[in-house]
Amino acid sequence: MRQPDLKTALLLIFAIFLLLLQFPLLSIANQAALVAGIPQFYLYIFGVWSLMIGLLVYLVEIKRLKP
Amino acid sequence: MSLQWLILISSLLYLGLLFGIAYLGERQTQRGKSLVNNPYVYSLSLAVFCTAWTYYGSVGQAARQGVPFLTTYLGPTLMAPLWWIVLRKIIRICKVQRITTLADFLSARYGNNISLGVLVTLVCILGILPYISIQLKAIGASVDILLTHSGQKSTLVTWTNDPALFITIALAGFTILFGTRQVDVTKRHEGMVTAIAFESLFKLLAFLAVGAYITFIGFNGFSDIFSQAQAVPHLRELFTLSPSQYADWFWLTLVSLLAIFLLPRQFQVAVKENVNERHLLRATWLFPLYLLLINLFVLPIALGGNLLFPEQSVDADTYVLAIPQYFGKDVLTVVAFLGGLSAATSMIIVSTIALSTMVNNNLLVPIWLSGKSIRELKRERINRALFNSRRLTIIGILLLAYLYFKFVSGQFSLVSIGITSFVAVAQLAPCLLGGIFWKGGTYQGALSGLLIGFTVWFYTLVIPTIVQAELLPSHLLEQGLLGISALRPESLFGLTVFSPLSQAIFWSLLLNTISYIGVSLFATVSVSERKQAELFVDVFQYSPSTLSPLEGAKVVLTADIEELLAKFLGRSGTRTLMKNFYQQYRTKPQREADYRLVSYAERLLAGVIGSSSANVMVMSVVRKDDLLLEDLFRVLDESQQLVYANQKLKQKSRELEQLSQQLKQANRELQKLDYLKDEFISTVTHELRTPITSIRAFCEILQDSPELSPEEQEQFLSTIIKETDRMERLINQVLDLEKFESGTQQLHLQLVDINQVIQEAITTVSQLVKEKDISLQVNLSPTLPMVSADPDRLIQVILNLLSNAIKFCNSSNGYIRISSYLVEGVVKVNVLDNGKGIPAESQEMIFEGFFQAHNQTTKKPVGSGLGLTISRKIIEHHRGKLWVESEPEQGSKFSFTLPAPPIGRKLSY
Repeated sequence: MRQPDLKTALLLIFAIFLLLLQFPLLSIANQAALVAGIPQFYLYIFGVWSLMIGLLVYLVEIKRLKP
Repeated sequence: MSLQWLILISSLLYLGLLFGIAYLGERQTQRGKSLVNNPYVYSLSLAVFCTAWTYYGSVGQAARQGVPFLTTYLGPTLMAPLWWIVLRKIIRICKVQRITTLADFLSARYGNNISLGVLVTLVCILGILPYISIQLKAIGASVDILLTHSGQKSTLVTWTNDPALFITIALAGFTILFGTRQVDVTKRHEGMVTAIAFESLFKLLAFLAVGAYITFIGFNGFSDIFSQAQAVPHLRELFTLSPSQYADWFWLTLVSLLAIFLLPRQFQVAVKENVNERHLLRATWLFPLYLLLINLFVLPIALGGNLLFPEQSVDADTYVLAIPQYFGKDVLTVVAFLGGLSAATSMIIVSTIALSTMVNNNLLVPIWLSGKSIRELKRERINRALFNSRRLTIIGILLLAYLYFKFVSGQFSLVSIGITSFVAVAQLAPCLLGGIFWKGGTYQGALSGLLIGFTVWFYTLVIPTIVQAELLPSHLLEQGLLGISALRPESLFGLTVFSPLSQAIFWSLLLNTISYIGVSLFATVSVSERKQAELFVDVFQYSPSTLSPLEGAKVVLTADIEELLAKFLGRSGTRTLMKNFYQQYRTKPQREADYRLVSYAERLLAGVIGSSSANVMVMSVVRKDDLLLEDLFRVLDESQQLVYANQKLKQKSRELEQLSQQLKQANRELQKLDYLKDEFISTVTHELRTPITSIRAFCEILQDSPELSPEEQEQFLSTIIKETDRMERLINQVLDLEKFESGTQQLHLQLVDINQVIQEAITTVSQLVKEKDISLQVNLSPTLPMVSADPDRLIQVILNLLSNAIKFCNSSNGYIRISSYLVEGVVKVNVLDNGKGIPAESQEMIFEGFFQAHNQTTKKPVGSGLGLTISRKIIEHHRGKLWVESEPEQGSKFSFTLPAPPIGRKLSY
């Protein structure tokens, strides 16, 4: 795959995580059940959030895409 | 020591520490070791976003509504990846144009318009003042709750009666000390930023400490809190969103996404105090990480509080303090209190600085300067006046916030006022984003969008709170303005599917955006506005020297510019700045200032008094009589002509390019021809040398060997004659070819019966055919028309094809078929053999001269190697075609066509 430039990558991250954190995808995780002692919905949001931070770290600090 | 004294002393120590850190920050900068030039400090300073709302309010909101509190942090998190695209552009524009506030930014973008700056300033003041006041409220409430619970409220120590006032005064001092150090506000407040970064770190650590204590010591970890809460039905509901909350979830995320770069305090730290654009890159992940960490314990604390105080005996907004106190941990309680104090103070300090700059540059300075001629102004008075007005503005803003807290905000929660502020500043989004990405956005569009958005905001979000405060009759909410139900503020235009808050966000942003775009499309644009639009949208393509506030040939004297600068920046300062300018642009002082000097001066002034006032000031020294509309039109006209000439030039250069392409192509062909010619000549000479060598050899033998028998002599002589014949033939053929190629070959055309020519040729080769034992099949159509041709040339072609067929056909049982027929108006002759065939890649090359000579796969060249070349030339001169169809091992079929004469001349026999 051709390496995308930083702007494209950042725009993509924005779009993907906007989708993941809004209705209707959000409704899939919207359950009161506890997973490993933590509410599933809460776990989902913090998981997605951490994933996004991880991706940003990867792009900006490790991969060092050309700005 | 009583808790009261503990709080007092720790607060004083904390504030002292803050002053100390700010002082250190300033000193390090003066020593050239800036603490602020660092992506971590930058990211931490952005966390001024997290105020007392985050610190206390999120827990309260989570305790009441559950997960929706997260939207306030998910919005900025989602925005973070876009910073490099949006915020970097804003930062660059501000650096280039020396812009310090949002109001300045928008007024500069839309043609240095003062009224727009005034409007934006008012929006910000109305939106942010309540927000500042709830920070004061949070501080007051936090002291209150500590003292109430510890039962020490009655003690008469004056400051505890009004801790908010004490803090307000202290912060006014801090802000004045570290926020108004230089006249030029584009200078960074490094001391202030250092202190803010420290406060961000402190509030995060304090909150994490409280959260970790409650979660892991107060309870047995996350799962303990969550499973206890799950057992309580109304607490279990806090784990999820109800379907009706999805819309709120979206709109609140959107508003906080916009707030992260539109709040004046965020603009201050993210844009104005930015040292290096690249710091944004690290903040892109550090800031979301900060937000994640500070939210990690919010829900556990909220649920813990709800579990510990089941009868709602304690306000959920104070759980962060109340829970450590409940567990009797005094030190932790004080740490929690100081964390809240740091969250509140950092917001107050930065917001106050941002707002005071805005008020000064967009309200006070224009009013103060209006009607004054530049000659009346005295430098000392200007500086003193600027400093004083900034200080007074800071005090004024804090005082207003304090009064608002005292008399109005007491009854609202932290979150509701915070959100109202967010929606207010979100109204700036269309004209700001449009301003940096769309050149078509105009002043009228921005003004109307802002007015409409702000009006809707006020009507749908502020009016209901005024009604709640019983300052307006309640039927306004229930029946709408003038009893029109479509105008009910909480469901405007009958929109009831959204909550009152969501519909307010929806309508205000929608109508704002529509009118911004709509009015912009129909508005007329001034020249200076168009120029600013260009400079903002394409900021990465322009250097600062392109900036010019002057269009056309207007005369400004350098002395006037210097005089003007000296008024605001002092004599010696001006001298240094002028020297810098001449060095930077490598020019010498001249009597008349060029546009670069003018824009340089304007940018310098913009740093002191804001861009629109700076523009007015610079225009005041422009010679009035030169400010003619005609000049503008002339410039426009000239630029039109330039554009036209430029297009012409481009077209010409395109044409030239095409020509040179053609020339190159022709040259390549010539070179190829030249090469072919050379090759041809070398081949011909080579071919000539072979017979000459053998003739010479035989002649020498004859000369040197008189003893040869007559038979032998006879044999040698006949070989010599044969070789001479071969040479002659070759020379004739070369001459022939030359004639065809130079076009001097004459054809003696006459009507010819082609079958007759074929028969003659067959007769000629019949002996050869018989010798080689080849079966020759002749298949001629009896109804062929006569063709117009040169019979001698034609027989040459047919003989050539026949002799080739004889030469190359199968040696054991050779077979040749010759046929003629009429097809599609042409006479076609085929000569077919059953030889080895010709590979596809050679089928065209055999028609080029000496193909055999170059590809001697056969033992010895048979024939001159020019036969087919000449045959093709002959047929082409008859306006016919000669080609070959062949497959390896399948034999070859040579065909040629000759045009048949028109029907009238058709003869048959």
